[in-house]
Amino acid sequence: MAATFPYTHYSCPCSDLASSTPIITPARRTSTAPSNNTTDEDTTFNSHDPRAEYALYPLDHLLFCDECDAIRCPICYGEEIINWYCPQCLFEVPSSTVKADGNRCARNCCNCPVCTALLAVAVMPQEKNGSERLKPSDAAGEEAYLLQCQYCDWSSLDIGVQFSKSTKITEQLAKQRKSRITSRTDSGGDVTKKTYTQRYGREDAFDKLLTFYKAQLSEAGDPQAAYGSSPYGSPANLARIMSIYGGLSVNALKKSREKPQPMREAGGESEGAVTYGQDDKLAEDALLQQIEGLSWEDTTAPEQRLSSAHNNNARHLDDLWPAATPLRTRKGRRCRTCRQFLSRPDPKVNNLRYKIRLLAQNHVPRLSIKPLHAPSPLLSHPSFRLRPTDVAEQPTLRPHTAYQYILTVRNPIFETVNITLATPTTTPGRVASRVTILCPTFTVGPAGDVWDEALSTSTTSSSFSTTRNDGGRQAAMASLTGRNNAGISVADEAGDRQPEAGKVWERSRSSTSVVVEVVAGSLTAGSSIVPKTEAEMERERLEEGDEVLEVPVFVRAEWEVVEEKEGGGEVLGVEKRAGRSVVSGGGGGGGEKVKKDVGFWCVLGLGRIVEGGV
Amino acid sequence: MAAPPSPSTDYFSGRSSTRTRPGPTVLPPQSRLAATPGSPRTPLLGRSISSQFGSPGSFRTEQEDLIIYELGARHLSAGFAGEGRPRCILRFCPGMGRRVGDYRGLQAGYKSDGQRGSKDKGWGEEYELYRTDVRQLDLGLVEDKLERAVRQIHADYLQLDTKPRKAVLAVPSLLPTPLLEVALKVLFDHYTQPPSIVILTTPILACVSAGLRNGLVVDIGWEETVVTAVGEYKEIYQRRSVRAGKVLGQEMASVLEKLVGDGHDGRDDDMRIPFRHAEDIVERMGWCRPRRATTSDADPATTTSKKKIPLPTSSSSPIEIPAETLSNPPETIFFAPSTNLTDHDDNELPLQNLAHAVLLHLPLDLRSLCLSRIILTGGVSALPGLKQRFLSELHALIRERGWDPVASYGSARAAFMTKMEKRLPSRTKPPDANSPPSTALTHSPTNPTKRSSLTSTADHNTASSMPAHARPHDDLMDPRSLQAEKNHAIGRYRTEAETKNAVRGVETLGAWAGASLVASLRIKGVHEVEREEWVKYGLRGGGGGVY
Repeated sequence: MAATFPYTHYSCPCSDLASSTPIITPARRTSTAPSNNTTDEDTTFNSHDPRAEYALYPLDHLLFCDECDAIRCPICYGEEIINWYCPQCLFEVPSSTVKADGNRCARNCCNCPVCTALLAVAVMPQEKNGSERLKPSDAAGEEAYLLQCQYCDWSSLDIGVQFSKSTKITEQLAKQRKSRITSRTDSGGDVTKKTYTQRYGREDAFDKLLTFYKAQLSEAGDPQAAYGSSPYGSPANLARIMSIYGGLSVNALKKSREKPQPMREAGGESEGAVTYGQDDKLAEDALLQQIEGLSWEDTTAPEQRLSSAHNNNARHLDDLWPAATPLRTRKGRRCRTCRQFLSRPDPKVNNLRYKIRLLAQNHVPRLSIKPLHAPSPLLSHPSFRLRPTDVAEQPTLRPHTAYQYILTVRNPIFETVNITLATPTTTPGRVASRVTILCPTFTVGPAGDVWDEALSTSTTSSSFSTTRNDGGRQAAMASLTGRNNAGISVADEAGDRQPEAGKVWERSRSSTSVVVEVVAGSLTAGSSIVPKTEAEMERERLEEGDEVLEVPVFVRAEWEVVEEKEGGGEVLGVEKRAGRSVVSGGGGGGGEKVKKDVGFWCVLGLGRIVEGGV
Repeated sequence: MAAPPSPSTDYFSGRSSTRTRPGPTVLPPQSRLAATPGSPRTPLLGRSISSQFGSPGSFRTEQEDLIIYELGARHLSAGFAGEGRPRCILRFCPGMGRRVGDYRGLQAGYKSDGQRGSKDKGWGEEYELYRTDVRQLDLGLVEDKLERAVRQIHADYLQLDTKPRKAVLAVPSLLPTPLLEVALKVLFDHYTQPPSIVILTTPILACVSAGLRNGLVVDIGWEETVVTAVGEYKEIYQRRSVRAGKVLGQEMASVLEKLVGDGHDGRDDDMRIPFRHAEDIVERMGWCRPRRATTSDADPATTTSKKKIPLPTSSSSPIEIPAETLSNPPETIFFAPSTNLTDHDDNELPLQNLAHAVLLHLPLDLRSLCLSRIILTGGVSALPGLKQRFLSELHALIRERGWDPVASYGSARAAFMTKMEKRLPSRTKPPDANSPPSTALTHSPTNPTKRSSLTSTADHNTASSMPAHARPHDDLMDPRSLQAEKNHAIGRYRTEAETKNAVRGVETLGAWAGASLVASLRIKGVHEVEREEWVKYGLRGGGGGVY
């Protein structure tokens, strides 16, 4: 359902859409690929299920654990934060201060509370006449700064905040906010008190409540809070000291014996309790006045309110407080089954390289699909669509029309892979289209260098008994520009060949193409003589996404790996792993052939079905 | 269910007994003889204390931080214990349910609302995580949504290292068990691997964050309004009504649609106001007007201003709506002034009737406590004017009906009145709102009402092993009642004197802040689910701790 057709989405085998989930999957290690496959094979993956949205990923979002031989998606890998940094000033924040700063930049970076753009620190414009301008020393003495949004012209003067220096803005902001809250409680001025109460709500109420409860708990016979500031803060230490000094003191003995007293409730504003009466004329007037002055533009949108914790209760734009930029992190990812790192960036901040990166696209066959008779060969790959008009052009399919597609399976690993494709004859979902894969079982040759592939086409084609022979140069260009050989060959000699059942359409060194035939289903249900009831019509109403033709395909890839024997004749943990069978030793010096396989569901998005005016 | 509160079995005081501390070492008898308790002696050890107990503050500084989650039907908020606000509040919306790598929502001109007809789905159904009616609910989908939300919270807001941390989960009371199971499963399965999760319920937390032990918590939430009477940190009685945020938004949309529809004569489909916009209007411009006196001299202070509100339907120019109209939906939804009480179903009582019904079910002493401790919480309670309005409605209702459980005597009214007049002369005039409870409490223990309630409390707690008739009926010497008397005398409830006669509201910081308070004070939760137990037995297993 992404924006550009055609696309291929992969589903991680860890998500079990079909079977009901047991509460705890016991020991995932033993049940990675094979056992899940058997359950998956029974039922068809329904890409129109709302849960499918949570299970499908583009291939480049997936990782691959080579210990478990399984695809790993965000659900089945764990993340470990390597370092924290501010995305604006790119400063790394040490892990000890991250939490205290609220996971936000503690330096100068603030986001506009209205439009979330970065705020710039600007010097306050000053009213000067000509004579004063000539005296720079004066101006420097009383320089003030403000925060200004370059995008929407919000400035910190709107909330009456200016700064004395241009550094440590976040700290100054926090200080100013605190002073406002305390001034609300201290100053008796009724008007200011009221506005501040409205604006800053009860920010200090939490602290008051906390101190109140702590005092109550210590009163109720808890020694820990009572000794909070003394060096004997820990109860264990205290108990040991007490025992050294010869038994408990009278007071402590009494306390330990006595039942805890029920603590009282908070009373009064100083303890954090705020009350309101039922008939308050003042409040009513204030309310009406407030409503009178309310206008749509002055109120906050939900996004603004949720932008930071300060603004959660802000109803007016004036109440919004600039928020420091949230930090970003660089994370290492671990397989949750075997705890090995699947991806790990270099811990040095400036280095963008990865130390470990086990991407699924380097281990799992990549499927791509394109129409057999491409409307314009230039638009074959979405990455090469540069203009918005190219992107906007979406293939539309007409109901009851047969379409032919070329499904290309590209092999990233250095072994020959046996591929088995399986697809339901009709696609699941509201609109049922018929799908046929003309050749569901085939092999794909090992990957190699791109140029290697291009230059040695003749040798590979002979060894794989391909039916056709491409010019090496052409193939190289094709694979470099993202088109594959099949596309060109069709463009060259379209019409010469007819797709045949059971025959591979196209084969190159590391990729094989087969033809898929699709008959698009009808959006409207078949007309019947009996008029439909209201409820039936209601049920047949299409939702967003229902008209998208998506073909679920189960892909199973099997290959054999020669595992080198260690000196003692001990095979490297092979027997221990499930999902593999050790085949009798092949020819090569003491190595053993081990069968490996990967199976997963894949969804091919072909286009939208549009009810034409035929 | 309506057992009177007992002061000793709440969270706070239960704490010191459950805490395990190394007990003091027992000294040999001869040394104890030599030392009178309380007189310090020089330790026999030669080492200095400072080296032995070298790091005094270490116990406190390595205080583990707890993660607090609050789960609602529309949001998930999370943060750390001891902080006043959650680090983030995540609202569920359809945009969150996209496939990875689907950036449609960022495209200019993409309209998420309106394409999916809200006919198929219920009002705002895509914006909620769950419904309390779990029969139609796809629990797997709920799990997926929640899992993604938790992952996003951890990646974007909490950003913790891998140390396992305990968690506190605040849920609405009577959250359906399958949903609780899903929530626990997601939290335990998350890679932060919390060793244990404490489950707390929101009404009690609202009480805690208001600084109260007792109170009437009116939680105006998304699907239902829940009125809970809390006594001594325990939920005593609870009733629900469907008059809550969901229908409020729907009503606001229909009021506006009607208003717009009058101007144009287009048909309904393009006049439909999508959920998101309706909710936005409620949150930004909605308000609740003060209660009109029955004498109806049309409150002179009423506002006549008009508000300009942009509507997605009337394409370019915002339409003008009288501010009065914007206060209609809360009026009709929450207080239903125009409908007869007998017309309501049991599950759709107006709020003041609901609160009154709950108060009626309470024992007298708790009722009087609750009456002056009304806590309004929940998303909609932030509507300007709603809190005052609710209190005055409740006050008026109490004034009108008193504490008579019978709402209407019908034709038997006259007979009843004469009968009551004979028996209880004071009852004939409209009873003062608090007279029964206040007399019950202020009179000394000679008052039979109070004595009996205290007795029953004490008996239930202390002598439950004996059959009821065999217990000694010595309530004057009962330690618990004595203690309660003492507390009462020294003014533990000292605010009581001034507020006993009034319906009074107390502001609360909300359930999340309450959970943060509870957790930061390290109060042991009653329901703590250990990870191992969960893995072994799941929710229902004996050791799971939930049941």
